Amino acid sequence: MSKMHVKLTVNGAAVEGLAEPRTLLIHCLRENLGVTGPHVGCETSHCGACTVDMDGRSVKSCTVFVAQAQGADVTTVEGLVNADGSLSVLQEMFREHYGLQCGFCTSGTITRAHRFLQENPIPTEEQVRFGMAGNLCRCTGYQNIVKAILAAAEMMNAQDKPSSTEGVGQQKVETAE
Amino acid sequence: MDNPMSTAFARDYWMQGKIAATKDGQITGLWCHTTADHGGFDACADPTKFPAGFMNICTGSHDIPTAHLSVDGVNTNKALGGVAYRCSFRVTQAAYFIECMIEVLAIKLNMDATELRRINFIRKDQFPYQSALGWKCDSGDYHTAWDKALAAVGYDDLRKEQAQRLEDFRAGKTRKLMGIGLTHFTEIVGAGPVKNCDILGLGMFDSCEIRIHPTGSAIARLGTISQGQGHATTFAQIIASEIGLPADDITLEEGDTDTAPYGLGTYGSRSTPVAGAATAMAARKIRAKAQMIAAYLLKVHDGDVEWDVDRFVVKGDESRFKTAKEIAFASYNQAIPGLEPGLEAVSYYDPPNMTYPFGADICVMEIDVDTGEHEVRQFYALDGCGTRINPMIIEGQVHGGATEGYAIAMGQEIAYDDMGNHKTATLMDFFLPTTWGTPTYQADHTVTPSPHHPIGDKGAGESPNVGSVPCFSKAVHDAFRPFGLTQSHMPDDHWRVWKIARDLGLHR
Amino acid sequence: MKLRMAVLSHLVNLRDIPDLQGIEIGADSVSLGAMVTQHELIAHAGLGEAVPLLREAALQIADSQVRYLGTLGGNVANGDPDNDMPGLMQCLDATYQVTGPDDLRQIQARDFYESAYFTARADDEILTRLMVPIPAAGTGYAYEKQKRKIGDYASAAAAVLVGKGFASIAMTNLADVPVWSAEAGVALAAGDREGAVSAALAAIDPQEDMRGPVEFKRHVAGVVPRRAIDRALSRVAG
Ligand SMILES: Cc1cc2nc3c(=O)[nH]c(=O)nc-3n(C[C@H](O)[C@H](O)[C@H](O)COP(=O)(O)OP(=O)(O)OC[C@H]3O[C@@H](n4cnc5c(N)ncnc54)[C@H](O)[C@@H]3O)c2cc1C
Repeated sequence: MSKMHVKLTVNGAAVEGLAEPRTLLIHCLRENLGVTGPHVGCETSHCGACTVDMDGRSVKSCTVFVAQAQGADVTTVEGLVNADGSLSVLQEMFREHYGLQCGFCTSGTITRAHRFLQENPIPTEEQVRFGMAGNLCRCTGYQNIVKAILAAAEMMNAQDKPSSTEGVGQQKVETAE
Repeated sequence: MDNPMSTAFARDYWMQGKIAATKDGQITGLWCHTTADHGGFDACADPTKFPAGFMNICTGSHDIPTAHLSVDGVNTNKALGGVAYRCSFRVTQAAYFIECMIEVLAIKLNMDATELRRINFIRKDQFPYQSALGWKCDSGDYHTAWDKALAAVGYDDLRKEQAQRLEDFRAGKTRKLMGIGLTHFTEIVGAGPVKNCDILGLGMFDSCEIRIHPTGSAIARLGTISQGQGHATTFAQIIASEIGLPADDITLEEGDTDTAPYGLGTYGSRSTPVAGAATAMAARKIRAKAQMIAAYLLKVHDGDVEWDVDRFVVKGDESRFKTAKEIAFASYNQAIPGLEPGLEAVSYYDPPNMTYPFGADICVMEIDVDTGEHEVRQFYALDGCGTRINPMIIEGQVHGGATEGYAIAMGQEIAYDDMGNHKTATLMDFFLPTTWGTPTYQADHTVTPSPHHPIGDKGAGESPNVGSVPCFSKAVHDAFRPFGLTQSHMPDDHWRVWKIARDLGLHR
Repeated sequence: MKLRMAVLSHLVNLRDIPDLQGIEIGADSVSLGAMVTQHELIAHAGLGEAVPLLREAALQIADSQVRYLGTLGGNVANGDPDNDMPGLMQCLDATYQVTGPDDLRQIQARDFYESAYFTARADDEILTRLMVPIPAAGTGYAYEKQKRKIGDYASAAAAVLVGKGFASIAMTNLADVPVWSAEAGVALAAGDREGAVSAALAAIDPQEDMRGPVEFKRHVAGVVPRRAIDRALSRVAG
């Protein structure tokens, strides 16, 4: 297949180049653009290490062809830091609560948690666990990840009171689990 | 997908056991024969003199006067095998074995397993304890840990609730059974003494080199490497408490073979037991020199100053002191007769013995008899890793290690079909637990410092895995015990649990 | 293509076709674009009220990230027997609209699946929209799915609708096509739960996989719909 011209925004910067349409977004990010925050774990969309934010949605970037990301606004863990380069509240809480050990899943986990807290700024522990189930971690047993996210939610809410708390995760988790 | 098919696997063990005891529950002997599948070729890094690893810790926490263990290693047409997966060379297998044997013995004797353990635990006053299979267990207080664990979960009430549930089940009011898994494990880690531990001739000591800069900051280099266990925090804390410099000013450097002192690396819960000991010893060498410098600066004899948190103080006069930071500066910038400038030291630590962490795990599980599904309602993990350097890191190890145990016990398997095709090549079929369903752990502890380790540490990385694998399994066994189940084969995934129920005639 | 098992000369991104988008709620049916994602099915407030079964089922598919991208069309069109939506659509008696070079035709979800990965859709057609009848007010519903963990397909799953004099049951991943049984619906409508389950089970043909052997699947294939029926009945209102 011939290469196509792709243009997208990554962490606020416009980028463009030629790529085979079937190139996966994760490979484009890491290999063409040098954005190595998102990791390649399984390439079958189970592990979530490659999670990025694309146009306001959490996606596993191994499920996205770069052709599908045409014109998209992509944010990776690198783009979540504060404007002055310091760690965001969420990132800081992962550090504070030992929400990471080896760090392999961390970039995907934090990027997913970032979106999750937009979907549901005042989550319960059960909602965190349901909303984060697409990010596998082999080190922490998730306990401190959940703790970090709940702590971040609390701090972020103390900082600015959200006007609306409506969102998907806000509704009760209605699985048959 | 290629990775799960070709990477080395850990354990595929077929363990057979016999246990002898008096009628009142005193264990008199243990026999174990294991057939160990090591795949296409052996991928283990066992100490050379221990081809079956430390499986011979299989007498566990019990005072068993005679024991016999034999292990046959076999090669098969699988990928390479025999990796020590989050346990110090077969300790999880050993713990699984003895824990199941205790369970079976309790059934045979019609005794409560908690009491059976109390009778057989090595008593506190028996340490150091020479085990029948050759280890000199350094320390422990199993009875205290056991009672603490049982009290923490409200064990008696749990048993009452379980009895009620059973009654309800028999009356057709529920299809869920309740299982209580109990383990008390003893590990052997911290390999190891060079006299009996080497890997292909390389002694299993470890090392640390500390350099204090004139500013009072420091760099420490070790022969280990952190894989997320928080070495930078733990080792900096050891140095900080030995030589009184702030942990934040201490940089850790590991894994660069151009600069690191020789060491054997991180595995088998050995980093803090061995390299951590080296760190404390190197720091003490520095403190010894610092004492001479302080005495010189304070114009007193070496013996006239004493250490107080971050300074040497003239005995009897607290107003005269030199802080570690001042000493660091002076060590480089002041000519001190009879002393070389500088403040650094290296230690190669050859441990006199292994360390023997222990712990107690209790799991409460709900089991759906009709579908084989389970829910872990509660998991309590008491860790006895000796001196606790950083509780948050230890608890992080407990959460993660127990979650790996959960995966192993409740679903993880590398399966092949009759043609030798690998059937579990994706993370959908190879069970890795997600946030949803992974238990929330109650981490607890007792402290019995290792008597031979400079700061009493025993190692914490693997204990939660070693204890939790049998604990989860036993919760399953326990649920079905009233219907005659003694043992089952891991992993207890939905269909295998379902099959247990079916074979016991529990399906309508 | 992603797994590098196929090389294609062209790649068409269906997301750029506006007709394939959107959730429209009509008087007695909803129209869903083939590119509607599972996330949209969950998030859409009106849809959750009109056809709550859709939302309940969508929440049991994969995880948040996969649901943000996974589409209804991609889930139902290629006839993958693992997928949850085909059985769900049969339970709901949905109609698929497919479009080819010349014309547009309607195919009932209940007639769409021929065998694994073989469907009534021709090679030169694409699925454009799905029409789902809105169940009468007070209809009880439930989606029950047994799986090993989040991210897994069903060991057995059942979709149930039950109302006054009406019922529909479909099951997933128990044969090479979704299993919908008219007799099961009739039996349940008449209040015969056990008759409904045996009718549904008559049509299953499960295969052994890592979730378990055939006998296990046959057993849970009986348990799961019973639970779905009980839950659906408990939700019948009015
Ligand atoms: C980790 C993981 C877990 C999952 N778990 C579940 C689960 O539990 N239950 C479940 O139901 N699903 C599950 N899925 C599947 C998922 O929900 C999606 O439905 C599936 O991946 C299809 O993705 P897609 O919508 O992007 O379709 P694509 O991948 O784009 O398409 C799939 C196929 O359908 C064809 N196709 C797509 N749209 C049309 C159309 N309009 N007309 C004709 N043909 C079309 C494509 O050409 C392709 O052959 C899981 C997926 C993953 C990755």
